[in-house]
Amino acid sequence: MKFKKIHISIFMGVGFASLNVLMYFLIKKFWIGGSSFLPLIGICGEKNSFIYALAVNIGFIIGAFISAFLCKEFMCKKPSFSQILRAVSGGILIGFAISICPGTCTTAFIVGIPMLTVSSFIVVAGVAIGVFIMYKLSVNHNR
Amino acid sequence: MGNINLTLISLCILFGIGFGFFAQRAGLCIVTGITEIFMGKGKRFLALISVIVIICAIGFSILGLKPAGELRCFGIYNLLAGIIFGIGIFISGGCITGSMIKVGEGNISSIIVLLSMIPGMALSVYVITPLIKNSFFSKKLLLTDIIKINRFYICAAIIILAVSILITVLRNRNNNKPDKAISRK
Repeated sequence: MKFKKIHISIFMGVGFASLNVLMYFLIKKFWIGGSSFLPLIGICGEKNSFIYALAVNIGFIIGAFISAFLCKEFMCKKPSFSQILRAVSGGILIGFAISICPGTCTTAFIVGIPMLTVSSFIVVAGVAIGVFIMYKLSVNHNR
Repeated sequence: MGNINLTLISLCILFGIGFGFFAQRAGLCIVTGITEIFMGKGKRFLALISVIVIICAIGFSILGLKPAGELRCFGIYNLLAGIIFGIGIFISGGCITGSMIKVGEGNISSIIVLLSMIPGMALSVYVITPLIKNSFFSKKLLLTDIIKINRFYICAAIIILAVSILITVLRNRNNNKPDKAISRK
């Protein structure tokens, strides 16, 4: 049986979600996206929670590297000037948004909704609106 | 900075390696997923998010719920932050998960995205937040605090919704396959 991209995504999603539940069961912490980078500006959170989240995300990058290396998908790509400009402006906006309201990130989709967090439902709507605005602008620009 | 438990840090890194491995193989990136939905090709992302929501909702509802964010100024700041985040991830070409995956794949511009978050975070935490802090009401709220229903019922509703999305996506996919007999003709 040949697995297609959607099946691989579903199996790996099962692995990701199971690991998230297992981590919550074992150490009472769940995966956090954006707020985990707050220790870089000196905010460590309650009981150093953001430091542990940063450790998870350092492991995340190592895990992504292992996976990419094993699947021969690892390739160093040098960005062009316009890519650097987009990366810097996008990064500043992301950093601004995640710190004005912690939990504004992938966390809202993966942890916030299953945890029934009210703010996460609002954030998901906001992210969809933001991406939709940019998508429409880029479609109109390319016409 | 208080005491840091090194055993816990090592455990977190180990879990992180697992998360990174699965996320890279799954292609977990919110901006790619939402853009795929707007382009009418969002089946893979919808199936992936549905599976994650189903498993996490079952697990978290059994283990106990804990808020994963704060409601600020009755949700107005959350909505604004979401919109700014959406614009930011579209410009940079990847959400935080997507950027971390791309860093693991050797993409240098994603390293720049992660580093550029530092001035953005500093601007928000040290300049904007102190200015508006008094104006916002901030509370960690669960849906069960507003709708006074047992958490299992709400989780069950979300799981049913996610299962329906998953079944619809997979069924549509099977229906879209060309009939071999017809395609041979």
